[in-house]
Parts: sequence; structure tokens; C-alpha cells
Amino acid sequence: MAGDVHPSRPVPDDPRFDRRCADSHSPSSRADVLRDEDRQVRTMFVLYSLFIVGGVVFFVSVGLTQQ
Amino acid sequence: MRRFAKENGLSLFFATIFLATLVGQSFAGQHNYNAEQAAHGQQTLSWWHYVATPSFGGAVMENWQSEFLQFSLFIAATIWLVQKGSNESKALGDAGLESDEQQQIGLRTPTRGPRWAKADDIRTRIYENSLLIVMTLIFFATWFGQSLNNWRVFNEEQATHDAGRVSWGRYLLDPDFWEKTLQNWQSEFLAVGTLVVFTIYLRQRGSPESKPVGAPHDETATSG
Repeated sequence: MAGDVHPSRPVPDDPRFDRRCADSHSPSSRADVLRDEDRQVRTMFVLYSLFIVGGVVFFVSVGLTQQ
Repeated sequence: MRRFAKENGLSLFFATIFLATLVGQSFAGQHNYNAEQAAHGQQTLSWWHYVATPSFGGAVMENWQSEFLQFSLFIAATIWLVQKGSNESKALGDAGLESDEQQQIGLRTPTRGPRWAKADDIRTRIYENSLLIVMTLIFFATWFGQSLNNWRVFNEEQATHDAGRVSWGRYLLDPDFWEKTLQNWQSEFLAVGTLVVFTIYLRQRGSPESKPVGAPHDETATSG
């Protein structure tokens, strides 16, 4: 359905939502803005998760490696 | 791109200084390690070989674990414990898990809220504790990493002094492991306790870690 961010998630109606979204006139552009917002916050979550998982896997591997 | 940098400035800033200081630590550590190796007439290491040594791994992991313990304890303690006048505390009457209404669970979840908050079943029970669960898991994983790496270093030193190697389990009871662990914990606990107490009387204009400049000293939980 046009305007959905996710099939199970309707178009947001939160009045506090980002001005960018309020400025978007069509349902599809509102959805595009929401997808962009989701992607942005997800990018930093993924980056920090990679730091943690990468660091732990690397250094635990070093500790487990026979010298 | 400029908008992305502006809206993610806080995490980008800390990611940048994290990587810069980690690389700085590795170069300083390599020079220190090689100086000691040379003093003992032993082989020096390239940067890449140094970062894959238990010496560097132990140093990194023992700092990581203490940071994640600090935040895990802070997240858990601030559910139940309050500090009158502190910006880091909830209001005195809010101690505890709070109501579903306050936490926007089930039917009270906003349209754009997390699906697992709307579910109001076992998924919600997991999701409502997910921050503490993940931070605690990272703490234990990094503490495990510290123990393995420092155990290797400990046994290398034992070997240079013609002393016997010890098992990993035995090393967990050794004062070397607990000194390296507790020296990091105590500094974290002092720092977080200081932040809790100092925000009663001290202010930083514009920071959410501070009360508004004009807020009364005995007013609790009023981020500026």
C-alpha cells in the first residue's frame, strides 16, 4: 500500500514527527522520508554493533590461539 | 550527507575518537612492547603482529569490560535506586519498572513504536529488557576476552621466569586477574557515582547530562 513504511505499519500520524515528514505532501513521499529516517538510525546501530562484535570476536580469537 | 552528519553527530564523533584512540593505543603499545623485547634481547614485532598479541588484546578487553559493566549496572541500578537532586536519577516517586502506560506498552504504543512493544507478550518482556541484556552480554564477553588474553600474557611471563604455566581456571583465581579487573572497575564506579552526585549542584548549559542552569539543587530528573 502506498504510504506504508512496512506492510504492517500504517502511515505515521504522530504530530511531533520530523518536520521533513510534515512538509511531504504525498503519502509516498512521507513513506520515503520515513524509510530514510529508519535507514539513518539503523546505520549507526549497525556500525557500533560491528565495532563490538568485531572486537570481541577478534580478541577472543587471539586469546584462544595457542602461542 | 551533510544532514546525515548533523543528525548523527554524537555517534559519529565518538566512533571517530574511538577508532583514533584505539589506533593510537596500538602504536604506543607496539613501541612499548618492542622496547621491552629489545631490552630482553628478544624479537620485536610489526604493528600488525602486535595487534594480534594477547598483550594488546588484554589491554583493550579489560577496558571494554569495565565500561560495559559500568553502564549495565547504571541502567539496572537506576530502575530501583534514586538520588534526590540528581539529573541522572528518575523522580523519587518513579522508582521501579513503571506502569505499562508510562512505558507505552501494548495498546499504548504509538503507531510508529516498536512492534515488540505493541505485542504485549513474551516478545515485549524480552524487548523491555533488551538494552540491559545486550550490555550485560557484552560485559561478560569482553571480560572473558580479557581473562583469555591476560592468561596468555601471564603464562608467557611465567615461562620467562622458568615458572610453571597455569590453567585458565587457575588464572581466574590469581591476584593478577583480579588486580587488572578491579583497577578498572573502581575507576568506573567512582566516575559514574561522581556524575550522579555532581549533577545535583553543578551545571553545564545545553547538555542533557545536566539540569537547566537555573533548576533548584534539590530538583530531581530535570534534564536541560
